[in-house]
Amino acid sequence: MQTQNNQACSQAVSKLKEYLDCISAKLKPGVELTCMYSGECIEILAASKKAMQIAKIVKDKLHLFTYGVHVARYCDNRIIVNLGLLGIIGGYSSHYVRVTDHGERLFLYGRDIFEDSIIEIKVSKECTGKPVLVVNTRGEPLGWGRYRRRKGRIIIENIIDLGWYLRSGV
Amino acid sequence: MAHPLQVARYLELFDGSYEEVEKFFTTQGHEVYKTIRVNTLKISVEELAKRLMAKGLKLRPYEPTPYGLIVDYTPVSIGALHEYMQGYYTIQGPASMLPVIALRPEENEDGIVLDCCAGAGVKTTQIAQHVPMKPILAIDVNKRKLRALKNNLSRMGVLNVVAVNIDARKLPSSWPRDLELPTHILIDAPCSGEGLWPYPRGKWPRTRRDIVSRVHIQVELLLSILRLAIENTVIVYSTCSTSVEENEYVVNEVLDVAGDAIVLEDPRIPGIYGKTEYLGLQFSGDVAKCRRLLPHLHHTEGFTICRLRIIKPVAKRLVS
Repeated sequence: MQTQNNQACSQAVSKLKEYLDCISAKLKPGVELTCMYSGECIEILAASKKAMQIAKIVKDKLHLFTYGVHVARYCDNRIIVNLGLLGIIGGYSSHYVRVTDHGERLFLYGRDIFEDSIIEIKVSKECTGKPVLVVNTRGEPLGWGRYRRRKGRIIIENIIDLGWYLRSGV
Repeated sequence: MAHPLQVARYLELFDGSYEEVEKFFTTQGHEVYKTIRVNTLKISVEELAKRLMAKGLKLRPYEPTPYGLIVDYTPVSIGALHEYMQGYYTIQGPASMLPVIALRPEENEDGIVLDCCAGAGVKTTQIAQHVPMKPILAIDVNKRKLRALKNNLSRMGVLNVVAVNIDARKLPSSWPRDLELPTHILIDAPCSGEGLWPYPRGKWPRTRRDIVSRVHIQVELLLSILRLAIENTVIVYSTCSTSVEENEYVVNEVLDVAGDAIVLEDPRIPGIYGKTEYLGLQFSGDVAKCRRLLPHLHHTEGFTICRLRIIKPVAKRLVS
């Protein structure tokens, strides 16, 4: 069981790294990726090395709830990115959309982004179908969107944005 | 409206001064500083202050901490700004920041930091600012609160916290053998919340039973957690209550059991001294080292904070 879990985790982590490569993003220094299992999905977490060691020790004796930052979920061979991922990546240079202050406000209210709110768009063909990173004028990540073309116009559909932290009420 | 017994307790606390009791019970929420804690893991205090002031906020440093800011004016709700969502700051009461200041965890020591009763993780993420590399074990009995903690870790980008769902009183008996013992322990104990009296949510009459039931849990909690303490372990015991029963009395009960194995230390935070005499009871003189923060005196929520240091092993004394 342990070996199976390790294999599944390696697969999930490498899928996430594939995605990060696609958007040319790197993990910030000192960040390690690891997994927790919930039902049929694998939760991918980012944690410090020491926190990972402690989690490994406590999980057999105590009810480990979580550790580090929840960055993604791996279900049915698919990576579902989480808001936590925004905080642990740096140096993205591909597959992103830079939006105006107005666009930032709307996006953080959970809305989609239309062409007139886009300052810069850099969508990579290699990443087709994968989430686009949405950033503000300062280049700070705001969330994830899906690139679409509708009647010849570009729309970035909101997948998840930082406003969720308020809206979720948790 | 305060319970008559509650008024009587505060009359005793304030040495019979009706004026002081009245000031305590009539202080309103707007008289308490509105404060935020800058998440220095993500942004500097100066940079965030500059950004927020550009949005019309009036800010000044909250002196007892290196990262607290007093918000004198904000044109919008302080929790609705983009910088909040980005995890650049969190909303935290002024006194609520002080238990971690009193704990003073240090990065250069081995071992872990234990945050008992971590709740939504506000103080846990504050500890992480002091020791971003050192592992922090955050525990709470309430899963709903741990879900909020998980969100806070994510928003604030904290990588070194391990969260466990357990009642802190049961932790010593379940402590994994291979897990190193904590060097610093924060016990921000569940309490009556009498220190929140200035706010509408804190204005409810506390009966004797309300207080006694908390005291019972607090003594159990502190005595249980002492089993994890070794020589030199620092424990900060704090509550958002200003009642003597939930603070000096609890610490005194523990000192009675542990004897000379524990000393109280100066928490090096603002506040008036702990009470050593109350309702005819004489506590150890050491409890004067606790600090009490009072809304009408310090413009904070009411809080009591004590810093204990273990100087001799206590586990055996607790068994006997």
